[in-house]
Amino acid sequence: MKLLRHELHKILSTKIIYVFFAAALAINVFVMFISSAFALDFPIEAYSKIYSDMENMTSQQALDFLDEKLVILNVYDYKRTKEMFLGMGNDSAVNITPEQYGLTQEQVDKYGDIAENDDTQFYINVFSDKQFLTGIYEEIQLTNDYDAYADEIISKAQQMTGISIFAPKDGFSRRNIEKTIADYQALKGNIGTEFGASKGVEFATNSPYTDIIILIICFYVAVTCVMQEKETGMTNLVKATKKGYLHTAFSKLGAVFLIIVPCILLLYGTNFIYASAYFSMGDLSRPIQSVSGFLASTAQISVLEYFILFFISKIAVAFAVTVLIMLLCNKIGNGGIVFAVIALAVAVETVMFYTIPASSFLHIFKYINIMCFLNGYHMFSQYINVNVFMYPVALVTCFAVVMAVLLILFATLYIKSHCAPMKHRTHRITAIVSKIGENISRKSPTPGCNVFSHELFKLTIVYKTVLVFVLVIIAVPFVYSAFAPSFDKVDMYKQGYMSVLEGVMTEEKEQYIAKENEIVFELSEKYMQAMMEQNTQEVERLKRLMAENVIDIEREFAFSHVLATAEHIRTDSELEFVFDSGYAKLFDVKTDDGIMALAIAACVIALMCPAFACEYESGMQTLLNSTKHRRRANTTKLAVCIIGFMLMFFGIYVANFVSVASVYGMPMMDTAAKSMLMFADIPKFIPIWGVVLILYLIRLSGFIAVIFATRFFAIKFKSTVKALVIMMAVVCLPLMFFIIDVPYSEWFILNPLLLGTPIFA
Amino acid sequence: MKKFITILLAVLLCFAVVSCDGEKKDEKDIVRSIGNYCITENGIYHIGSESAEKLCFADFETGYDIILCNKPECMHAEYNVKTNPLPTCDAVTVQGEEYFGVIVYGDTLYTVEQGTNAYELYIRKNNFDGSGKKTVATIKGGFLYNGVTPIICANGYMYYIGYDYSAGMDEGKLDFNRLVETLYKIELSTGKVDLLIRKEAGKGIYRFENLYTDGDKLYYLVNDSTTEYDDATSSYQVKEWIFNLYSYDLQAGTEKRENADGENKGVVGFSNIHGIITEEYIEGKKVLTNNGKIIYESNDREMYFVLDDKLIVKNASENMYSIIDIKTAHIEKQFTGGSEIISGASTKYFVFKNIFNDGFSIVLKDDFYSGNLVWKEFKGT
Repeated sequence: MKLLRHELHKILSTKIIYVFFAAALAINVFVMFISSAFALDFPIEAYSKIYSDMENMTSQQALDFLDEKLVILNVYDYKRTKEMFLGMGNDSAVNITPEQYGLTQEQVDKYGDIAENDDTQFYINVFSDKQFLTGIYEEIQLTNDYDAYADEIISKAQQMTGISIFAPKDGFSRRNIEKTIADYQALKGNIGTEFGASKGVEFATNSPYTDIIILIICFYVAVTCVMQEKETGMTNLVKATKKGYLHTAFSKLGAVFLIIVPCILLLYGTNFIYASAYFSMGDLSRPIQSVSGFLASTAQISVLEYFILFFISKIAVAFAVTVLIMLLCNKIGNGGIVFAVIALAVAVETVMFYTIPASSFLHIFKYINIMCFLNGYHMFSQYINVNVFMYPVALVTCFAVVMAVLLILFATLYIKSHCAPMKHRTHRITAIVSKIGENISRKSPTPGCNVFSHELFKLTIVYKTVLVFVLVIIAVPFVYSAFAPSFDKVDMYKQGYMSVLEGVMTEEKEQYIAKENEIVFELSEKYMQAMMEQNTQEVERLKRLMAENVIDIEREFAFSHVLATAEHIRTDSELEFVFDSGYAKLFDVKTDDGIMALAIAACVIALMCPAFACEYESGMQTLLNSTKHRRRANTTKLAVCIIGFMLMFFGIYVANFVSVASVYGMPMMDTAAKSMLMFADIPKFIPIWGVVLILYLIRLSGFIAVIFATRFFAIKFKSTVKALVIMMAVVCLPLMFFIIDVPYSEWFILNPLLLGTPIFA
Repeated sequence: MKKFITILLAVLLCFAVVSCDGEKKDEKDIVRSIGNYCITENGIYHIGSESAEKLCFADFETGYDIILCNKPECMHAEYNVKTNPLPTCDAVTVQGEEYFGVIVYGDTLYTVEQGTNAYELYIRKNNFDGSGKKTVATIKGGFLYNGVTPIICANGYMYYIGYDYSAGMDEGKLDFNRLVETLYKIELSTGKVDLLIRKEAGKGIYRFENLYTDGDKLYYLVNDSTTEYDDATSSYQVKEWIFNLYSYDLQAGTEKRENADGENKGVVGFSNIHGIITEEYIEGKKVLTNNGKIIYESNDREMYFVLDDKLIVKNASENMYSIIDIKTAHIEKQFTGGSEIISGASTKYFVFKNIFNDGFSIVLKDDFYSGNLVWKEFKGT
């Protein structure tokens, strides 16, 4: 217990950890607030009011209540339309009947006054209420009669057993169907679904931004627990004590567990409190199937039991990740490389979870996946059976087994690595890198004189950041192919139009546009007109035109863009038509840019933190400061880092630019950027290549700011770990929020510079 | 001497046996799918009629037409970037692309799917229950495809028709409706894609819809006349609507016209036993031929279906079916029937397609041959 207390003290004794936790909580609340304000389909106050109005109602009472509200809205619609027609002197007002709105005259008489005179009845406004209330009505209806729902599935499953392709008894399909029948039959008659606010449960438990914050906390706690001693050289000293091996290892595990659990409870607890206050959770003892997103779940648990399992699953995953990071820290010993490895692992798991289709032969990697397990809402709300050697196994069961195995495995490996005898063991890759370093040193003609080569050597070989460079080089072709833009039919039509219209406006082009306008938009109207006038010649001409021209929605969309561009071009005779789809792709605010920026930022942080902090941590900076070239050494180090970063930056963004250019081309780059609608407000003297250059300069400045910020924090805190965590929170976290579509996240901290595109939007 | 003559005779005999006409091809090694559906022994795999983003299976024995997903609780929700970004249904495409073709070849169900990038098509293999999807090949071309076409698999290759629908400029004229027909060969074991034929712009029309193969050659129709730009319709139009039969030798990689000038010749079907059945004009009469021999004199408004050693003719105006033996050219049976069009067959059933509602109906072959047309229609689950 004493050891455990000491380990806890080691982690919690620094002020910065409290600042860090407070910041994490504040960010979580802030993002939660923004999500509730801007990401919901309807205002949060509307949800709050409707659930408050329906509190303590049964399902049927709630349905009747909503039915009445919808009738009132229909009466309002009917009366308004009728009055409008009467007001215009339109005789057809007499043909507008209540039946056309699904109403009876009695309903019109009963609710007419309320519909017209009572504005407080609306939850949002008269226009949005119908959609809002209908959505809630459908949610309640869906969960109202669970037995009917289960019956339908069982009946469908029984029919499927007769179908030839599902017939083989030793096949996964047949076993899955039979398991589905058994699972739903167990629920039938035992689940009495009741009405309760569903939105609160979903909001509280489906928060990917909280999951990301938890991962960062896990990283910080793990790295602090292990690396602090490694950085100060205390590890060997601790191991030399009486309880320095097994007891210390267990104490460390216990300490991180005791820190992780309250963090999770606090962060998710905040979500729960917020959701409960605004959306309400309803009766927590009702079956989980009463919650609209959980209808397919076959778990026989209540809402409260779901919350408990939710927390347990989060704690299990977070603890497993933390122990894994501790193990890596022990093995690798370099905070920057541990960060890079973890970032890569998270990236790979995320890609597998989001991109592997459920029907793929690789689908097991989609579900047996840390990101899938971390997303507790997805795991518990759906009925998913994973194919394990042709047998269907419930995803939740897989989770329990895999997590138990991983926890035991990681903990065992960590304890084993911590308890390994004190001897200097060099990892094979580290040995190779060191060997290369030795060879370079031996061959260097003037060792000890060139500051630049020394700093370069330190950065690449000593801090082993060459491994990160190798990773980036390997990743560039992947970036090129993974983010290849899609050339769709609208782009095809636009390209076709621009092949005719390219350049300044001329009389010929005006005629072409007029003729095309007739074909795309006016043809069918003129055809009807000609039919009414019985103009046979014109009918034949238009019929032939309609038959010969494929007018689809993409062509209409593309030509609308042409018309808008033409109107803009006419304002200035020097402006020109340009095929701008490629440029639009470059300047569009999109997730791909966030992913690329995050990848570069992660590499920069992984490289720079150890580079700037290492000498302060080891105390060598004091020695360096007393040398003749101390200033040169510092600035040279900065220059080397910037050069290394520039190589990465150009490598990744050139690949991206080339992939866009190869699909769309980058035509007429000397033309004024103002020719394009998206740059209508830019001064005319700036050519297209100028705007593209500005975009990349903005991004470059953003990353230079990241480098300087990394240097600042590394020097200030004299710790790789602390600098890493702060930079993750300041740079990587906002980018991750942007990737998961948190509203307005493109404006968080450095995102506008790192992405570049929000400034042009 | 006697030994030498015996060996020589044996070798000659072998050659004679091998080069016999009417040699039966391995039935399983040539499979043709009309594109949006493929008939197997147990049922019909087809693209959803209401949504081309779903794959379906119509089971012969139970009569159910289901969405090809082994999850009874599945709602088969299609991809939606907001509400359903991660579809869990086996039958639904990954990111809202459309299915462009389906074929069962050997022990595998192959699907052709539009790529997320309009320049790509994916050839994917699946288990028969729709699971286990795996990309076999990616066809990259200047394509923006807009429909389905027949697919042929033979000798381990798939032959796929592509239409480059990109707008093009030709002599300063823009034509959005212009198609550039292409024919691809895909090696199914390795995923290697070869472009066999690409029609040159302005050079007539290739009718790859009439694509057939006998294993050694591919047969298709080509309109050889040049096209010219028609201002009235703002598109390229062919000068003459005459189609010639072309063959593509798969070994030599060469193309050859099979009919003489002035003759229209088309392929109407392929018999596993007797080879290609062609339609052509001889002395002004439209006839169906097989290996140069006339097997049937054709009339207007007739549709044909070839099955093994039988030619089945449907006369739309008289609502009559005729069953003709290809070898003897003898009309074995004639009877009046329904308005459905015969579209394919399994071992037990004939499959009919309703061209108005895309629905399928089936009839037992024995019932059909006896003139007793007892239709069985499919129902959803």
